[in-house]
Amino acid sequence: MTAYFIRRCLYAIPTLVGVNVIVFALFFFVNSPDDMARQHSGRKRVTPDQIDLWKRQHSLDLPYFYNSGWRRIASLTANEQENKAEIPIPGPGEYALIVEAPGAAKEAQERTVSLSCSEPQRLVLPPDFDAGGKLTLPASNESRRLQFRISPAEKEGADELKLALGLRVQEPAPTNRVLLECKGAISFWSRFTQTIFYQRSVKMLFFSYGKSDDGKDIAAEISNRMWPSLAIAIPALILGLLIDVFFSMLSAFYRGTYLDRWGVVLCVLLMSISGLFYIMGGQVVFSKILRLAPISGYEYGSGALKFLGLPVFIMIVSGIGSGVRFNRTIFLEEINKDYVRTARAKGMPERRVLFIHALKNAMLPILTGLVAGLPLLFTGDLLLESFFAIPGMGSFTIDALQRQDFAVVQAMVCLGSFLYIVGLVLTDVSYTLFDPRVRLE
Amino acid sequence: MGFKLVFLWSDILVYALLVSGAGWMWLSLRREFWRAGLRQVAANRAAMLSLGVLCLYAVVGLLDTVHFRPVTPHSPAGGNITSLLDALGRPLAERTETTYSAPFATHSYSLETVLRGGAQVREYPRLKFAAAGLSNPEGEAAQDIRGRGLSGLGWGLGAGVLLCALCLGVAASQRIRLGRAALCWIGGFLIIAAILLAEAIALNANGGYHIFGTDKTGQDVFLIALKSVRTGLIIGTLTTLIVTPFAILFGVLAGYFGGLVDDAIQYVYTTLSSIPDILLIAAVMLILQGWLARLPAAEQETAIAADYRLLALCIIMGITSWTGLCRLIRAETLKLRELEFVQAADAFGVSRLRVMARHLVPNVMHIVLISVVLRFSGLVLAEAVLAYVGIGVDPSMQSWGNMINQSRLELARDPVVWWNLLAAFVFMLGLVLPANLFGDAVRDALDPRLRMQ
Repeated sequence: MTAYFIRRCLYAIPTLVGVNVIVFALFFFVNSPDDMARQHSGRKRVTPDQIDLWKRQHSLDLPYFYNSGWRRIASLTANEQENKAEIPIPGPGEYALIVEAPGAAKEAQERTVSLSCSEPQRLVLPPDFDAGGKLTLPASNESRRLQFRISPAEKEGADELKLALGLRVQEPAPTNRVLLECKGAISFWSRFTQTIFYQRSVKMLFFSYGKSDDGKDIAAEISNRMWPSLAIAIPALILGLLIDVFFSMLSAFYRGTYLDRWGVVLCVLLMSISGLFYIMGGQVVFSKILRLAPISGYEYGSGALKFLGLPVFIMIVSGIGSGVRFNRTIFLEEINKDYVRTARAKGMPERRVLFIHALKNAMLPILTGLVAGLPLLFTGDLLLESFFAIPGMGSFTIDALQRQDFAVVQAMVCLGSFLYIVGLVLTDVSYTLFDPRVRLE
Repeated sequence: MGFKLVFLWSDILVYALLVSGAGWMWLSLRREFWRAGLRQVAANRAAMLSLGVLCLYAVVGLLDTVHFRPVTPHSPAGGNITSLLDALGRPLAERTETTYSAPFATHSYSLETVLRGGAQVREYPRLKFAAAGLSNPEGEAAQDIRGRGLSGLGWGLGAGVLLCALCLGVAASQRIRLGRAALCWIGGFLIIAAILLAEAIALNANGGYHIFGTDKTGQDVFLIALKSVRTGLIIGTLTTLIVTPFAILFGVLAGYFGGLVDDAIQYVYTTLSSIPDILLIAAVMLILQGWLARLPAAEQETAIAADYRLLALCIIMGITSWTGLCRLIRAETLKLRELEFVQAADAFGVSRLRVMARHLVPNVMHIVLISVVLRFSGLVLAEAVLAYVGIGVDPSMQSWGNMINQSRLELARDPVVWWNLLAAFVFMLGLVLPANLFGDAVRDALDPRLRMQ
């Protein structure tokens, strides 16, 4: 059994990794960090400087998969025709100038970049530059990367270096920029860990969810918000199961009669109504008109009871149609089996046959079916929690969706898939535990 | 006045769906298995009545699918994209009040300050268009409504009976024998449809009422609910049909080849299905918003952008729901692979592609049909939830989800505005309930396991 369990868990790992890769591709490739920054600023025209600032604040200014050690130390934006900056630099080594261009071809213009050093003899420029340290780039909408070097000092202690950077354009535009990057020493591990993929995706596999876009710790939020979600989901699950089983047995007991037939029609009718109507209707009838329960809100501790009653009730009612119908088919299947016929042939009353013999065996598929959904109880019900303003996981997710908080949505996707996979493993294990017909190889 | 036909992407897919559906019907009806199934469905009165209602919805949806740009002297290039339903509903669209009014109301729902004889008075202003012909609406409205209702009933009943007689006459002249169930549903459907249509005309037409009230901007809720039919139908049908070919292909491949192919396909669908549906849809729709904003300006027209978004929603909802079908088809193919006729074909050296196309795919089609029909109602319901979360169809597109979403605020105001929610409820239930009943009948007729019993 233990060996089977371990093997089953190992099988789940590739799936989890696959989910993470899909989520990463969705969140960071299809929608690059630049796009996210643009969406967040909410303005039509966002300058590259603003995008860089947003990315730095949300530590998304890293490379995707491999960090070669280049990092940005300064940038110069063409806010005027003549732009100049004095930049202190850390010391000798490899440097690069990136001359950015606007994305649209019609905004392209000629740019002149000039570069000089406080110790001119140590600056080794590529041949593109002229003797005065100037380079004129033709109008184009492609960025250029120019690498250069600062050679080591000849005598000790004179490493207070400064670069003077200049950018001249005809038409000032914030999309024309020059970025200065330097190559720093980077350890072997950091080459892989200082990347978006590691920070934002691999860490999620180990339940390290980081911070939401508004700076809250996601893991702490989850551990707080789990409890209200469970406080709704668990009572609703247990009571709902009892009610569903009761009505479906009733229907199976009177199978073929008008009660059964109209019961099924009623189930289909209940199934055909959107969950939103149950919630909105329930709120209007029970809170607004009858004033039996508060319309929304939550209180920790024993005060929660009065807030939980209505959501739990609505959750049960909205699930009753499909639940009863599903259980009824299972009971009917069970009733047609040989052992039930034998029990009847022995002269056992129908009630006893149904409630003792059939119920026990029918509960097996019903309960094992429930197991798959157990872990997902943690993630809460999106609609119910948001309508009743219950501070659970569901409302957390929905708020994040409406704020377009990518970090939280991604964390929820990863957590949700993890729990789903746990549910699958539990289902398999519970079959082998409780169903003697399922044998392990 | 001329017009220029416009084909949106979703329109093209709807036409493709109609053509392929008709072709598939024609092909499959030559097989006894399908004919027997069809006979069983046709004998089921509830199912046939449901089919009738579904047809009614389909007609509304199709009317709303034929798009064109009206060409007038002012706009030779054509105006905004409109549909046939828009054109038919123009009288309703033009009767726009200033704000909320209740169903069948003659006065506005909110107090306004008006000048009367030099003094400012707070009162419920008379609606501009509803019951326009009445001079004393308080006294006459009830009688007027009753009169219109009765005349609609009369006309509808008359037209329905006439149509029935016509149908029977045609059937008799062609020597087609109709069973009792068929008579029952043809008659019932024609009469109910005629009555509904006549009532709708009688109550709305010249100086009529807003039968579902008006919304915040004074638009007729009945018209909005009608316009939403197309959105609901498209989400219910296109979603499954876009991805069904992939589900069939991968399911049959996995089941027939087994081994590495099977492992790979199983891995893909387990991974996809383990991402929570709503979150995957949300992630994709969030990302899509950025993409839509970067579309070229020519495609930024509201109707076109909304159509893109609708299609994207269909595709992503399809991606979240094809895995179940794929799993079922794989299991069925595993079973079929061991049967004699497939073994014989293999032994004769029939190519694998041919075995799949001739022997396997036709024999899993009943599962496909069952799952398409059963999934329809779930998708229509899901649209409402997605709209509430803010990741559904475009807010400018009429849909029941958007109506419900809007009515959330209306329920919180005092006095409560309930008719938006009511209209969405009635129209959704009118579609989903028959769809469920019809789906059950199809499953009962085509599932061989159930057929045995």
